[in-house]
Amino acid sequence: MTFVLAITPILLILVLMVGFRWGAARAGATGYLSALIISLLFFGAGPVLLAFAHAKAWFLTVDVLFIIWAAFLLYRVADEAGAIRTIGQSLPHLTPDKGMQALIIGWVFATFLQGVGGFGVPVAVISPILVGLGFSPLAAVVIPSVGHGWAVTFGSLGSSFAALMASTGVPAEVLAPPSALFLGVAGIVTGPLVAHAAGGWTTVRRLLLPALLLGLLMASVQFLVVTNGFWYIGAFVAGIAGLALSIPLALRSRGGNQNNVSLDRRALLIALSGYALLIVITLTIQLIPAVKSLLSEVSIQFHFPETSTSLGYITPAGPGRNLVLFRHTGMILIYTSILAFIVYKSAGLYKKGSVRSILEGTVRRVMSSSVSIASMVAMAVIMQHSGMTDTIARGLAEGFGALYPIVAPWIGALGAFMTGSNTNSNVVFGELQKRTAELLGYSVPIILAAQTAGAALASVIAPTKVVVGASTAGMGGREGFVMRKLVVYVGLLVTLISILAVIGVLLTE
Amino acid sequence: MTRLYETLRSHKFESYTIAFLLMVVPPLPMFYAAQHGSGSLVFVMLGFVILGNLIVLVVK
Repeated sequence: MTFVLAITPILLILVLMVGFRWGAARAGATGYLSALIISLLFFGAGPVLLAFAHAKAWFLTVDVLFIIWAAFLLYRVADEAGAIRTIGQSLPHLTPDKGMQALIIGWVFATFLQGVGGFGVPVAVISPILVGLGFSPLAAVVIPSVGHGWAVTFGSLGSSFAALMASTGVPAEVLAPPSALFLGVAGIVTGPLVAHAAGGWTTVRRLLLPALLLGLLMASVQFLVVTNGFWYIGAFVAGIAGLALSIPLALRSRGGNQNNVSLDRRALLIALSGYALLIVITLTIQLIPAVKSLLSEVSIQFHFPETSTSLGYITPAGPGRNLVLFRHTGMILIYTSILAFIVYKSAGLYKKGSVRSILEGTVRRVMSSSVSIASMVAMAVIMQHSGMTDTIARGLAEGFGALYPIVAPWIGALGAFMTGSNTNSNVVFGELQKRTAELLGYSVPIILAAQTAGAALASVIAPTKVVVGASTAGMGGREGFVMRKLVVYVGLLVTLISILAVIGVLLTE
Repeated sequence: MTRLYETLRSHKFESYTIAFLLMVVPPLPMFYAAQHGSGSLVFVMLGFVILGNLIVLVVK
């Protein structure tokens, strides 16, 4: 009975979003209210416990939303200047080979776009380009959807990964290696899957070598970047590395003939300069100790006392999340946005009223997801402090036992499918997965890596994303066809993560 | 009441903004209230957060 009560807020979100097609914001609010009522009535939460739970949730919410808001601001600065369009239009010039176009635009460029933007941008930007190049509308949606899934956790400038760290309290240096490894393997497999979506097995056989080369390069680069502390630019740098390798591979596929290449190199360089600034600023802050220490001077951190429910569930005292204001990932993105704006402005890329359009676009776009994140984070922390998460974890541990590593990525996948986001899935299920792994004696980083990898890969089949993707390619009303095709590719990738999770826990036992 | 619902629904962005502020502003006063043992203030602040979530529920 207590298990059913404890899991009710999560089930409510699932049923309302999938069964009743509610948005994440409304479903999140329902989940929050139900968690509050159940914790008060059945788990013995008092006002003091709830107050500290809300304050802790506040820090986690601010930490995650700061990155999401700033990441979308940078995307809007570039998009308003036409930079995204310029980069997208330059790529088809590289090769007339349809299979290579699918790999470069639908996978490598999708990775880059997920790295810098996310929020459904890769499919929305790429689908119309692919339709324009002669791909069927179905393929035009499926290719970028499959292509960007592996880059979601370390994409959107690391917001999903930040959410996983914030909700579980596990640091980046512990979480990043297994997460990058699992997603990297999925990324390598993604290339042949994209080739298959573009032209079947013939295209897979023909393009296997370039697909493997691109996959290995992007997966290795992402792994190196995120395991060296730069988790927020993992997918972004992987995408740049992939784009750099795409040029010689594309030229090789057309026999080295460059006569028809009509790239506007100056426009392309200016378009990319905004993102080059992100690398420069990141490296400056991380590698110059004086800059790093200067920017680390202001930080906000609260110490939280021990709390207990009337039923005796204790949350130990400890420090909350430390927000280092001027070195926060969100602040790095704001510095980049300001400098990128100056560069694009001096190149004459903005029309009158652009500042207003950028700011308004940013606030309007992120408000709905901000509300859902605020609700879901508060729900997750209340469940954690009142012992509800612990109750669910014990139930899952008893129910699945040794099979849990196989199930863990599917729980993440389910969370992403129902909430439409890797970030939300990590917020809702992160602590639950951690607690279950602890109870079963499995490696926490491996189970959390399986959680975020499953969530990232399955986020592309979330109904909300499929609807957006289908509408941009002229497949509106035929979302079922898209979903049916995508489910097979995503199912394969999540199964792969299950296998990796089993191998991971066996190796770490 | 119906008119209030309609107003909230027809101004979705503004409603979400108010709801968001109601969710993120009260937790800090709530923290200080709990530290100073002011249970009633905690419940008042909690009421604001609940109100924020109810607004989101009403706005489709």
